[in-house]
Amino acid sequence: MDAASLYAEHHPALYRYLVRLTGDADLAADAAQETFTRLLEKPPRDEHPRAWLFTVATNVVRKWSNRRCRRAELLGAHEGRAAVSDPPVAPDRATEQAETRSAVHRALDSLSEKERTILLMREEGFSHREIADAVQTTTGSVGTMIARALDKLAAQLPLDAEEFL
Amino acid sequence: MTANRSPDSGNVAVSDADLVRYIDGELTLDERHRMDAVLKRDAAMTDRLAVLRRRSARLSTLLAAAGPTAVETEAANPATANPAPTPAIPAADVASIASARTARASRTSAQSAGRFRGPADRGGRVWLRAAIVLLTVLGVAMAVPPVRAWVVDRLERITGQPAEPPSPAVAPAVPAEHFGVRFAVEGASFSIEMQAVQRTGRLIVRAAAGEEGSADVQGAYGGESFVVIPVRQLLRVQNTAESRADYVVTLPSHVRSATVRLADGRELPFALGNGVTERIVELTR
Repeated sequence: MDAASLYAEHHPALYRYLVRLTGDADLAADAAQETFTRLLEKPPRDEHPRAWLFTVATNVVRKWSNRRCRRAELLGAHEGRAAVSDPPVAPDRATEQAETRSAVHRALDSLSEKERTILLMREEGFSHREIADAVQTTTGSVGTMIARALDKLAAQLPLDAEEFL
Repeated sequence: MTANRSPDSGNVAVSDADLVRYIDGELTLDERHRMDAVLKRDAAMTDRLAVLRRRSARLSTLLAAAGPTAVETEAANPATANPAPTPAIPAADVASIASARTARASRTSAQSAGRFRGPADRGGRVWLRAAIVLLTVLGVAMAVPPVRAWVVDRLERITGQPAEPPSPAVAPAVPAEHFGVRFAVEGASFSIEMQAVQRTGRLIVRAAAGEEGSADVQGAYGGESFVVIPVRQLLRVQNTAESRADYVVTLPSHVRSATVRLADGRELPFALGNGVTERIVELTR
């Protein structure tokens, strides 16, 4: 298993997932780094390491998220800030993106940790089995929690609006 | 809607979980057929399915609009467009992760105990290493055919049953109606997931006017199984490593970027639009 190629292939998606999960680019970068460090230290025997990486990263964030105060501080300090290595964007688009990011993060933050993880892993294309393994639940619960999370988000985001974006 | 029954139960009512599994392409072929039949009869359930599908698609769009993705990063720099994704955080040398970890560990030691500590840091290192060595020896031994045959033989004698062969990657026997599927695409990005890096074939992604996309299997594919399932902003192609076929996916012209994820974990992002009307991904192993 070539760690360098795994990093090149999976880091962008993992980082994107972690930014969405944590709402914090720095925390996401730290968690992604920690995950790849663990990959170097204890490489998985799995032929498909993508699910392993996301599961480990989710656990890393879960462990760190016990420090809710730090996260809340960071969220407050960095709200609307662009993620690391963003390409430069036009000012009007940047403002629009910041507003959208803020609204989405607020809505995601209203979900339980498990609901948020499940929804975002689904967004990355993982199967219900992979998601269930990552959050240690059943595949049936995954579907139920996705529906419940979407209901909650619909109350805060324009998911049912007549006009969308 | 609230009854927690699977569509293979034969009952009319199915749960939200079943609808989500339907949207995500998680049902078996039989379950999908049963669900299709149920949806034809039950307008309320069809409405609920539409709600869940719309919310899923719009959430995808909002998430994509809320922050940069690897695809967008590349699309913003067409001059540097490359099949390999660009890491959001440059890391020329993965080894630097380890050194960064060391530096970070000392930095954080003054902050809090435990945050960066793994099991190996808590005194289990010796046992961990012993377990790794043992597993490595076992793994190497199992790679030797005579040893593997002996172990399988012992297992069969103990259990009294023949060892199960590895299950195929996808279910066999796919009806023809799963080819040429049409689907709506919301948002400017789209993902295509190939479940096997097959023996020969290509994935051809084309842009076309209109709001709908389509997916089709072309070329010779006798004997192999394929399922092409649109899953929200994702197209899931269930095939086998022995498949030989070309897949043509047409996306509406408002899609500006696409990602192809291959079964071996490779993710290939590329931009569409700006004169780019076709991309070809070789699926050959």
